Amino acid sequence: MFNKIKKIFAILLIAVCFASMAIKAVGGNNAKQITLSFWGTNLPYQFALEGIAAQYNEMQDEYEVVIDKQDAGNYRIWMGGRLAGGNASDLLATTNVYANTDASNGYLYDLSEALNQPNPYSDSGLSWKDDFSGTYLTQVAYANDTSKFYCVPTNTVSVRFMINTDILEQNGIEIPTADWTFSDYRRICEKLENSGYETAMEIANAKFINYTVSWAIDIMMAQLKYDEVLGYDRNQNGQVETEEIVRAFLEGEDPLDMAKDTDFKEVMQFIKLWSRYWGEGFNSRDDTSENFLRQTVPMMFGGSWSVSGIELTLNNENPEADKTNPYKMFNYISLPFPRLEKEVYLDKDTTFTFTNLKEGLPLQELGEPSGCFCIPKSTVEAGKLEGTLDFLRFFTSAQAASYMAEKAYEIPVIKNVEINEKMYDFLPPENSESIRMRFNLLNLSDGVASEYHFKQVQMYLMEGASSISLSTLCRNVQAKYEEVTELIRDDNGWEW
Amino acid sequence: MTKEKKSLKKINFTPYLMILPIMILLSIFAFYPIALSVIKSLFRWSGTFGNDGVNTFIGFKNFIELFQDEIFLQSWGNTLFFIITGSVINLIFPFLCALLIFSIGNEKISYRWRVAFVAPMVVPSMVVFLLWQFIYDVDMGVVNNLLQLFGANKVDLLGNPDSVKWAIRFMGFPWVGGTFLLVYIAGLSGIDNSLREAAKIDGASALYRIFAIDIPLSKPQFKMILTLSIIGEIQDFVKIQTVTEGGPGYSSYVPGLYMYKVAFDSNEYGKACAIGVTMLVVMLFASFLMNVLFKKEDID
Amino acid sequence: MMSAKALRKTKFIVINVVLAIFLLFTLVPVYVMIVNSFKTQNQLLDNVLVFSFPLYFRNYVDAFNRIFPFIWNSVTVAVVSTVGITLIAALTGYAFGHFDFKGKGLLFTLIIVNMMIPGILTLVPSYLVVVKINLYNTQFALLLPYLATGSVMGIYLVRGFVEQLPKTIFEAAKIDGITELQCFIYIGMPLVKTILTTVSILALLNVWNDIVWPMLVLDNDNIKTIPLGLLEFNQQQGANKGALFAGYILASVPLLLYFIFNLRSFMDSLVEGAIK
Repeated sequence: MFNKIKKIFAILLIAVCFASMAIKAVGGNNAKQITLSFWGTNLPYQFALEGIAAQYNEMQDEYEVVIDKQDAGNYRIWMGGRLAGGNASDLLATTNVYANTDASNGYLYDLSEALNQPNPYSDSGLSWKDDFSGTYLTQVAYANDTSKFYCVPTNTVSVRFMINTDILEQNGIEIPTADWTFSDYRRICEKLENSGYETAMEIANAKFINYTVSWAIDIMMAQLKYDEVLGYDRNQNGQVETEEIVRAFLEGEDPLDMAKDTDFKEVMQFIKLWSRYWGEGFNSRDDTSENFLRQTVPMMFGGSWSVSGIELTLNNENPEADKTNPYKMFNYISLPFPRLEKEVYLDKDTTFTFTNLKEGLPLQELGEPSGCFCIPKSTVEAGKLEGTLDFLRFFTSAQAASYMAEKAYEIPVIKNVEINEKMYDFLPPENSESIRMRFNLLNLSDGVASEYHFKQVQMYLMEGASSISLSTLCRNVQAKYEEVTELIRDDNGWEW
Repeated sequence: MTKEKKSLKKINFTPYLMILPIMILLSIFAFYPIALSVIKSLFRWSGTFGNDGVNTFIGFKNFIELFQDEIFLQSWGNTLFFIITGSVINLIFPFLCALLIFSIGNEKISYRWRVAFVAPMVVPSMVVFLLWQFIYDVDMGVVNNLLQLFGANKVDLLGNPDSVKWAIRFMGFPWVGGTFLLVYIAGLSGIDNSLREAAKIDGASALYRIFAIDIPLSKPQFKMILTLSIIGEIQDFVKIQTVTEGGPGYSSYVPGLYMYKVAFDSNEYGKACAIGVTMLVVMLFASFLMNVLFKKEDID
Repeated sequence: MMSAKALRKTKFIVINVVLAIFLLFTLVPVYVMIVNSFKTQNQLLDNVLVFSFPLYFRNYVDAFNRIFPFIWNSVTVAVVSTVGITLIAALTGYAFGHFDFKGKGLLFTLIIVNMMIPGILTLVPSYLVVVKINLYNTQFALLLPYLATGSVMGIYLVRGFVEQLPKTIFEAAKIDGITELQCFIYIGMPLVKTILTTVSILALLNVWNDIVWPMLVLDNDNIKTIPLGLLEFNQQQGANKGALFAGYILASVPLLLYFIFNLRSFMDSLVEGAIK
């Protein structure tokens, strides 16, 4: 009897499964649907994007924009696979380095022609290209041919120290300002540690990949190499482009050499000393924001992109927050990376000296173009180019940028955009300059090479038998730079 | 059968029709991809089939680059660690457990134990990986919770290159679940009991009987499990990707993970195929080695 | 010295104790999973070793809403694939076991060789092929390759079984004048039932636990399988990790149910598979 029931159940189950599969198979490819894919750890960003899509969809009847969020960890891998397969979404979030590689592989549509036309959604009367402020757009030009553009940026990001001012006040510590020095920062940390906090500052991380540390390296190198960088900018357009970086490494009698460079060595040593204070397991931790929100950690060093998440949660508007633990509001400020000095106080036994640091230089503000989007060739082939381009123009209008700033604290890259007060903390400080060169493999090359950079730094920061020495790190990094720059030079047939 | 002339009319099409479905499926999803992989390993390829993209013949350049690639070599070094430790574990622990279960005379209880050890297989493998990752978590994990109970300091097992491989290997402790256990039990049941009886009568102790009879006569099982272990360890990268992404640094990197990244992160599909071909060659070599080591011996 | 009987009894107890210890350690992850599935984030931060009271059942509700679509997708694909694999294995295995035909040896070797080829070699090219034939992001992208590679083992098992069958039954039927096809359906199939159960269970386990292939070819949330769903869930649940564990338990339910209701055949099939 039992067996009979089992049999009937089994047959029913099989039938239902077959039916389910058949139903799911019939899913049309909607010709009027434009899909935008992005990597999604940031909930407010997703909401804001959906808002923009909704606005656009309401404005016109022809197309429907759909926002598609992808897993943060796997995005590049997902995207790479789709591009090769020719079945990517219509509009893809990307970075300018990925766009370079993908363009060389012939996957992307060239936007330069469209950029020379005016943007119908903008009142400026200028061409779409000129609506972008500063060098944000020019920084993402195609490395092999700077007249071509294979992606456009929609925001910029920076890294900041988020400081819980309530906790500082409670412990009688003076609130620092934007021109604080690293010594100031360390003294604050010491007072907090003495007041009972296990870790005064945690570095925000995604598991295993340490972007934030890379940013710190960049910022410090920029402070130390300010003068030299001016020399690398051969065409003096305010930024050091890929070709100029490649030349810096490969050309001339005294090329940039990370294996021998004293500045790089000092920065790495400094970071290793600093990493002692980051807390156990900083490599595999991904809950820094959470700890900051729960006020178990007074300071946090992370990207401006985490601010909107913090704001959302503190206002108890975050649907994914822990419902059994309502967060208490607290006051916090965001400060740029503290200024380095020739002699930096680390703790009562350690003072670090930077040999080549010139004081009084402008603060370095990264000004990196971010939120880049590209259009794969498959979109063109599917006949959706017009609609996708139109939406992209809408997305990069001042009005949309203002909306993104309001909803998601996204720092705009379009001229004449209004932003709210909290975001003033994230704009470049008054006496700052946009960095002209980024000392990071991440900005030159693709996944495996840039991952190599991260991992070498990781191994250097480790303690124990498997960690690598400073000279090994510098040698390995330099070897990778040479490999990558030579490949880029050969691929482009550059000769100087 | 005997009277049929070899003319077209008499050929029985039925068997051919019956094997047609699998042959079609295999051609599309097995033979063609394998051929494609081997051929494209000699190209620099961006993965597209049309006219766009990169598709240039470069001979063995991919392989030469790979063998000079630090990351590639280190990944094989790590795999070697996993192969050796994995094989040792799979030869000892499930076998030990099988011996114990087998030596229980009572059929009912023996069956119950078998069920008990097979039951954990209902948990999907992804869940097992994520659970172990949690167990090792620095702030909230079981290991650190325990350590803190005893007043010791926290450890970061997965974030430390010295311990990460051992931590990954330790996953699944005590390694007695599932199919390997059953294979050994099946093997032990297959051994003629009269041999054991004879040894008992001769006064051999239990321990001696195990070493003289059970182990030697389980050789076919050992061979099979050793082969499966090795082939499994060479290919497996999902576990590592989920738990540590190959980190810290490259200390838990494996060729499979590298292949995955090279293909989809760098879009170097030719090189990825070359890595795949290398793995195939190593696996064939390992199988060959197993056959040599475990030459069929007569069981008397 | 103890009597022989006492010795045997001690031995029995010792063996059972040792086995119990093994089992206990094997079940540690399961224990961790269960204990923590009833905790709120605060309780989790407190400790992860024992139950915390009050039990927070809401985790299961949250997890269920998130995980159920993925569970259904996995179940669908697993069921359809298993049925398909079993049928193909039966069909092909019977053909090889029952008939003699030209090229039989070669064709069989061609098929069996696939057991040796590592999945990893075909991973990337198979993905590209799937995209090329427009199956990307459909459940068929999972189904068809599973049918291809999953049947191979089954074919081997069925052929072995069919070769052992006594020819007399078939010959008797053929004298009565039935076609080969009818022979297969009405006589062959019932005879191979037992081995088919083995084939289906082995296939089920393989398909159920596959992670890499779905990761490559599935994109749409409404067809993703359990491992992918769990990964996504894992990444999203920053604030309340307890729900994750509830999700893990829910993900184990389907196979657990199958295990409970088909215990005997499950165990027997695994043993069969183990022998072969």
